Amino acid sequence: MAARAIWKAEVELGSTKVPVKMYSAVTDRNVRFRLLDPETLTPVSQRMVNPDSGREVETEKIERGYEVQPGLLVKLEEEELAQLEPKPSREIEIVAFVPDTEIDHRWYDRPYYLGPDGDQDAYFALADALKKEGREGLARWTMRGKRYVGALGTEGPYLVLITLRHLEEVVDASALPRPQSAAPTNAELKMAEQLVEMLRGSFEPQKYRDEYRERVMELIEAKRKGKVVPLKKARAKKADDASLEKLLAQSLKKAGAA
Amino acid sequence: MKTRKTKAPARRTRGLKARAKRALRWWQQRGTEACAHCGHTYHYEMEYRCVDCDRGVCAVCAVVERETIHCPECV
Amino acid sequence: MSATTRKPAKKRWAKKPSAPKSAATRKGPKRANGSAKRPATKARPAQRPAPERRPTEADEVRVRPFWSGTVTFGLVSIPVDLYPANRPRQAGLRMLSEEGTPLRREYHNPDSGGRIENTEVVRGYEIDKGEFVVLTDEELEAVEPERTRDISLDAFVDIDELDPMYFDRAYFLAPRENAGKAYRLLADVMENNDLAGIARFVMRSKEYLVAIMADGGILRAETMRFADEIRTPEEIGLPKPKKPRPADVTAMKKAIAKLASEQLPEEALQDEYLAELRRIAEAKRKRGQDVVEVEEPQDEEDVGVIDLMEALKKSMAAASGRGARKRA
Repeated sequence: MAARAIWKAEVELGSTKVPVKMYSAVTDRNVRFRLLDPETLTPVSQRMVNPDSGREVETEKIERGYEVQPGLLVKLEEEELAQLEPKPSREIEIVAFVPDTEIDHRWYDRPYYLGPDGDQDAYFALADALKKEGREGLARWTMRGKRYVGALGTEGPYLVLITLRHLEEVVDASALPRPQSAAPTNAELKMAEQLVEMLRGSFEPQKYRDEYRERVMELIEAKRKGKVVPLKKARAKKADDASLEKLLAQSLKKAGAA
Repeated sequence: MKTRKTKAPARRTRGLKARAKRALRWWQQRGTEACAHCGHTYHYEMEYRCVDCDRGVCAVCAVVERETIHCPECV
Repeated sequence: MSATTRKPAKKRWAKKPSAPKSAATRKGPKRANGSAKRPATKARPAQRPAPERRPTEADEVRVRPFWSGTVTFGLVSIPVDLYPANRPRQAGLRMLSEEGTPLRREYHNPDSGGRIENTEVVRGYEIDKGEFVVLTDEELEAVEPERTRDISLDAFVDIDELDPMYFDRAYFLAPRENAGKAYRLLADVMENNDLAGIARFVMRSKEYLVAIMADGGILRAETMRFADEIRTPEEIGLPKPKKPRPADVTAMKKAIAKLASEQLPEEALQDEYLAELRRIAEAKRKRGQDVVEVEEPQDEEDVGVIDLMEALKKSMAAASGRGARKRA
């Protein structure tokens, strides 16, 4: 089932241009809920209301403003807002090529596949070169009036573009105080390492299925048929007073027996 | 100026219990993601992604047909 | 389960996550006022039928973790609180009336036009066109009550095996109650061996696959997309790969070399739009043009839109030692 491209553009590395089509690499499988009126069960509509008058303000009459500091807003006019609009373009400009270990994954946001748009030679050559050089491109582009930054990389023989977060959108752990606690004893450390070793394996994503979403669909089916579903409550976890060492020992025994 | 309200139960007490009842659920809160169409914010788990442009829209703006979601612009 | 499920690719993992240089010292989104929360002001009489504010909530910089539960490995349980490790994108423009009053979003019934209070809106699933089944939070929690309260680590993997394409969002785990020692134990073991713990749990009516990693003694949970949520090239319909001509590859390598840089130019990760917006707004403010003062009573909805750094620091510091302060 071929997907529809989100966008068509050209990857621009200096004077070299590679035409591409962009596709989302993820599909959302969430169970989607709508917001409803509790009495009529119809989907709600929304209005922007002036809290002073209590009256609705039509979309055309809505002004925009920026909060320069709490309690202080600056209204911006249409022309001023138009200035902010980035120029539309069909270029994915590569600013630099950095080693592919350089960009920390925590800044990766959403992945997209880039497919060739006509010039397959240039496309596969670029993907191959990137892979061989072990580099990622830092890309900038404008799509639908919004500015984006991303990492241009490869996945097998194909190109991928992953949007990146802004610098301050990721909180680094080093900026936080480390939770203080008593240091684990050598015995505890050893047992914990053993336990972890027993649970160690290779990562198999296919093994994991979203069961919750399936159960929710079952619940919906049941309710649709008019069945009354009893509510299960989580068993309260009774605080285990056993010492950490004892728990580890018991865990090891259990894992060994498994 | 009073707003026209349609509310079944009248506001009874101001006690803790009543307050707790009126507390907003997470999906009623303002949230952190902004709708690409109307600009309102919502929590990530309530996001709808348009299959054609992959932008995130809120539950109110999303146009839902069968199993596909579109934003008002791509519909 | 499709036969063409994606196999995780290796390699593009930063061996030692090298954060963009200044990230570690970054204090947080630069707001003109610093990090103080907007103080609650008196509600103007008859302004709007807002629910009574809880004074404690409004005045204290206290963010409740939006998820609390227990991380388990083997029989060891570590009660934790979850906080986001991603700051939301900074708010841009606000919607105002012609006089400059910030507008409020209201829900209405599309047919009758009647207003529906935010607290009364319900969630439902569309079973047939126009027909909905309402689902309450309690019912959704009862679907899988264990997973909504526990993160049970049943496998440990090499961090290198995880393909960054799977990652979605990150959260910090702060130990609760007397969990300090067990928390530290898990963190130490994972950090010493470059391992990540894999688990599944349910949060906000959604199941997440997570990889829990240690970073400087702090546990971080990174949610991952399920295998069926990632599309394969075949599913998308990408053309079969062609072996490129060596001359073309060399030409590309040359083009790459011209733009090669050993370090990430961080300016590229700045929010340009916001910087421009702020610049224009500040310039107007200096000229005293179109400036509006607003007094807004603290909105109940605003819980959560508080300086994340403050909340995180407090939660980590509070978790230290025994008998952590009881959270209301």
